[in-house]
Amino acid sequence: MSKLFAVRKGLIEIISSRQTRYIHAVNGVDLQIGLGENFGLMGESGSGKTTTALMIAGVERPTEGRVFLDGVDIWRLKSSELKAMRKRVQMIWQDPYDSLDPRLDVYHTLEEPLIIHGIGETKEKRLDIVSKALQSVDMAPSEYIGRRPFELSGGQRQRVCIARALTTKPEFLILDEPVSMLDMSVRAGILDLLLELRKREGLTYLFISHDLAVMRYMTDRMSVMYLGMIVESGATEGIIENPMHPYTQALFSAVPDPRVKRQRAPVIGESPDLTDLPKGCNFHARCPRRMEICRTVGPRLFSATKTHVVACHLYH
Amino acid sequence: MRRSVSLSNTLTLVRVGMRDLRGDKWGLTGLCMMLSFVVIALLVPYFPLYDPWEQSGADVIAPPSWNHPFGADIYGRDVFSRVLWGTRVSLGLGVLAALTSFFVGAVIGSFAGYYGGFLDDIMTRFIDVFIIIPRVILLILVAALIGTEVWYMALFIGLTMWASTARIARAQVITFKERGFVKAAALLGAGDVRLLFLHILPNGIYPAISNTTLQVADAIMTEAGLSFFGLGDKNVITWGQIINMGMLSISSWWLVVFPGAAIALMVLAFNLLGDSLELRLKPRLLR
Amino acid sequence: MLDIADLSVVYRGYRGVLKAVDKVSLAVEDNEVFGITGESGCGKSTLAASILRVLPQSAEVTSGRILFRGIDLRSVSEAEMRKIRWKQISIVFQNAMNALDPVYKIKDLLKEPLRVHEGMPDEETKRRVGEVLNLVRISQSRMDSYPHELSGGTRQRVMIAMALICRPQLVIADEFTTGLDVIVQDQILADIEDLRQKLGFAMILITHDLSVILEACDRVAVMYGGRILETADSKSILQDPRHPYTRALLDSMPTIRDAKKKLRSLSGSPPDMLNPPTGCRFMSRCTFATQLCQTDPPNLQVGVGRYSRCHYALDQGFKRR
Repeated sequence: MSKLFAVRKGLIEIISSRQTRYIHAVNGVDLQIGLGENFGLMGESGSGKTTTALMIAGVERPTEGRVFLDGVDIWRLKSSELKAMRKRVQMIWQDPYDSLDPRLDVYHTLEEPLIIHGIGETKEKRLDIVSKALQSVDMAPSEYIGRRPFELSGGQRQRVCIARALTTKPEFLILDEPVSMLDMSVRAGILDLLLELRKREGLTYLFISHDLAVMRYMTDRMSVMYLGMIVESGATEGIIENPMHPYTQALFSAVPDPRVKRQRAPVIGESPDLTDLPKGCNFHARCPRRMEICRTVGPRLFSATKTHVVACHLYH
Repeated sequence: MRRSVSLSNTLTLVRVGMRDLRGDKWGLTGLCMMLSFVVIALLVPYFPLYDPWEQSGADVIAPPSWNHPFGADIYGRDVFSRVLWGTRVSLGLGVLAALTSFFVGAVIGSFAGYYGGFLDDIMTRFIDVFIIIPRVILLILVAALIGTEVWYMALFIGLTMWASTARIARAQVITFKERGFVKAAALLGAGDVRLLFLHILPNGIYPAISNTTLQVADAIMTEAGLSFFGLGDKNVITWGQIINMGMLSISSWWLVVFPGAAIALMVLAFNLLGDSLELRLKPRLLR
Repeated sequence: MLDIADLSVVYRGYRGVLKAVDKVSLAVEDNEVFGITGESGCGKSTLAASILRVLPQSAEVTSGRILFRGIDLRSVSEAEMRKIRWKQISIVFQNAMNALDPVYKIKDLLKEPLRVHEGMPDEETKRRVGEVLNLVRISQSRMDSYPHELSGGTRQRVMIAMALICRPQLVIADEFTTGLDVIVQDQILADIEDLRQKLGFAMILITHDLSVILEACDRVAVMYGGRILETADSKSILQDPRHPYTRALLDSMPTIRDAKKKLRSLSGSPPDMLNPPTGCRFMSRCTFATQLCQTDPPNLQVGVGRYSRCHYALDQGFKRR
């Protein structure tokens, strides 16, 4: 059975020229995503989730470690092979107002990947593919095909981006916060569309978000990231029912909900600077349940149950 | 397919630019002035004028009169005719210089901005060199080495002006490289050429275009200056040449004022147009 | 304390006249937390700015009254308004990075309102600044920092401190936790509630996040297309919404605590405010719309202090179709 296999480690960026300091954006992250899986990556800003996604997509080069797609290290590919890979792996970005070339109308935007990869030899064939792509995102071709981005709402733009990603018949779709910038009433429509498309086309998803509720709605398995490291992984519903890592617990209790009387997030202070990571556990300075060992030794991920792994000394 | 996209988009651009121009008094003025110059340049052979090279002993240094509206120079040649004929070369020279500057500057600036890193460092230093070295000195050198033929001068004036366009192009490319739709296109598999010429430049080149419009005026002024110092091409009529002749007879104000006014008007026209373009083109297509 | 009646605000641009706020009425009591929610373009930020008269040049208030403790804020002079601004009503914006002047230290930023609005001498300001930093739980050592040296949450706390330093009676918070991590947001919301209890001020909380509004506010107004569609206390809105739009918003919120449910979304887009439709603004996207909705719904009173702009507001509930 073919599997999508991603293993990578830290990405380091130089930010100050006087004395080289490094931003440990992603620090030793291992992920495995199976074919046809619906996998979520959860984290707040600065957690490294977007950088991780970019490394998987083949956009940002990992400083250490490898990314395997069906057993092939994508960072070792020749440029022609890399281009072929781009047909299989596509990405939906966060900002629908920035993801479309303002000069191109919907037809040309959707046609571009076809031209790049030589799909559809005649204009008629390409028009056919473009129309079908628009229909699959619930947009009537006759109405939208000639429109320019400024004539489209946020939700419509995002649908066009999804249609664009689908034109090359990809297997793997990376979605980086695809609904965060959309109005609430529009989000559900896009999310449902994505779920339906996955089933219909048999896609594999990597869904990234900072919103726990959206993550629950969209994914089957997930990993929680904090400051460049994975702190908890497992079945989404399992993590929601029983969050084990104190950070996940804090995230959970911080989500506002008028229907329940909830405890406030029992966390102190704010995230440390990414250039100045603490020794030991990344989270220990803010953790309400920290122990002596947390200050000096960084916890490893270990299996709490068959499907649930945590990186926390509390569970050793 | 690619070509037709660019064409339809350019047409939209022109259409949009024109639409707003209607409300822009100064821009409209500039446009009209420029068009007048173009019309004059094209149609001057058909005007009933004195032959601009025809000398006349009788009219030597004749002040403006009914016969010679702008007077006559030291060879008795009609200044009015010379000024109108001068439009052709001055305009042509200005445009050629500006276009040269645009292409050289845009290419160098775009590559520097796109590839970044070491290449960018080198090219930026190279650009800085051209900013620092005084243009006039460079051009005097060129005139000394290659001669003063007007079309060569136009080319070389362009080759000394490109630095500002390069800096603008570079900054724009760097900015647009980071835009979402460019990154998205890269992820779709688009190569460098496609990204630069179909996405980055079509969206980002406008400030460079308006800068180039201003450079036409700049080039004309430069030529006028060089001619004034005697470095111009004596075989053609440019406004600078007319003024240069005027130096030989200082008290004859008409030999300086009329060509000078022509230069000033041309410069004004292109400045108004350039400023207006800068305002009009920029925000329009960006969202 | 604050009584807004029939307020209308338009923006004049080259494309026409944009009716951003259309005959809005609401009332805020002393020490109350009043929430205004709605999606992008509904006019909530324009409404906030019009209270303090800090609208941009292109905007114009075309009708209505804004009464603050009996004073009509629309008719007072600019000098009078300046006395009210910050001392009686203050505002906290979203995205403090853009709102804080980057070349000034925190302590100088905080001193400024005291100098300008209270004419306080220098020695006294020092004490007050220290006091307010304590209130928002920023350590005194941060006084000499610049905004870019602080984290997002801390910057937002500085904004809150600036808003509270003159002890206003009403604080308007315009999307002031949007963009912050959820944990930080939670801390700040908790802290500001504590401060409210301690210092005693009323708050108008504006955000598009419905869960935050319903949790933090006593009463809520739901805005759409420049109009307030429903006003009620939070509990009633949650349990018994009397407007299809409110119902739709509630149905579009995914939860983490209850059982997983299918979300509902709205098709279409918000109305074009240059040419708003006659009749109900929400009609084109409403699943309960009928012929009747082509006439503009009146503001019906549904209960004590509860209003809804829907012809069917008095019928029970808008159950899912």
